[in-house]
Amino acid sequence: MTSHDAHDLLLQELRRIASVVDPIPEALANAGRESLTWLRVDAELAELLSDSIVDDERLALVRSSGGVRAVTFEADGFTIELDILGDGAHRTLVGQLVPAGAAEIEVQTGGAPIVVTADAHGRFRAENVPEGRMRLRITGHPAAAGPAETSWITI
Amino acid sequence: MLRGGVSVELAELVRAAGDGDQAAWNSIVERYGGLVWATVRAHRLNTVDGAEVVQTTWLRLVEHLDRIRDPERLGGWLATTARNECLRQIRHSAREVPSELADLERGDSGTLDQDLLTAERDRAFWKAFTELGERCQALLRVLMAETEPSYQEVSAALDMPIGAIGPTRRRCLERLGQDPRLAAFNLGEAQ
Repeated sequence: MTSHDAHDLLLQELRRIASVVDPIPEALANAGRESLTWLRVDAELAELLSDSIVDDERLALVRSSGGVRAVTFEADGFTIELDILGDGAHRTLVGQLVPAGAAEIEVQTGGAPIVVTADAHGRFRAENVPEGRMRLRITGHPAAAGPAETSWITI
Repeated sequence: MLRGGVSVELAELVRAAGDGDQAAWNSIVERYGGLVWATVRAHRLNTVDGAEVVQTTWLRLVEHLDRIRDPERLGGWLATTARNECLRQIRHSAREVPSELADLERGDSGTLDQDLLTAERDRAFWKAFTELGERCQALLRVLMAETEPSYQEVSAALDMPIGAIGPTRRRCLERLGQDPRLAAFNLGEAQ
């Protein structure tokens, strides 16, 4: 037997043992299948463009908890700049639409959505947003052809 | 390397899932679930953070189903996405002031339920694996994904040059095979 074959056997053994000690949790497999529910029906994707948590390592290291995390989403025709404040169970979102314009913003979370409006300067604020995964749905922005939904992020 | 038929099939699955076809989507989750999970474990995320990353990774794919240009590279795309989300999650968790409960939940890192390993042989084997260097553990954890990943997928999962995978794999498995604890079980030897 060559060492190549022996190595393949070792790896096969590891794969078999991993499937016993460290399998994909069943609940997670279910959640994976269910995520198709979130397929966008009528909205454009506002893609996550930057996130200070990963882009600004220096900041992430210097700041302890409670610092401001800044993320940017890019939709077709406009961008969404979002500051995420606070820690604990709830966050405050302070946002700016660029170019400025009024719009309706729905904060979608695991629970009931939170609806706020952006003023004519494109500014909006949402309080008491539960920690966890969320995305924004923006409708009525003058520079957009239709509704946009951001990528999901965990706040 | 994927053959033409496979990439056509993948392209079809991606297209159908993008149209809301649940069966097509399930096939994708089934095919790549192991790779995503192995990528998370290779980054040493515990079950709570790991679950967060896996779910975000699937949501990223749902978001991008209409934007996947090279369906034959879907595995690599998922592995890259999972890796990026791992790094984001690690930083995110580091910012949090963990509550006592979260501490308890997160305390499982690295201590998998070894009691599940009934055979002493398997126990020795897994112990030897968990005592390899970090680089070896990361690479082997991805390579032992439920469905054997391509080197392109492994490269994406670990941000490791494709050319480094073969030699590292050889070195790590050699070391594992030479572990004295495995000698008693004739592992790494001809069977």
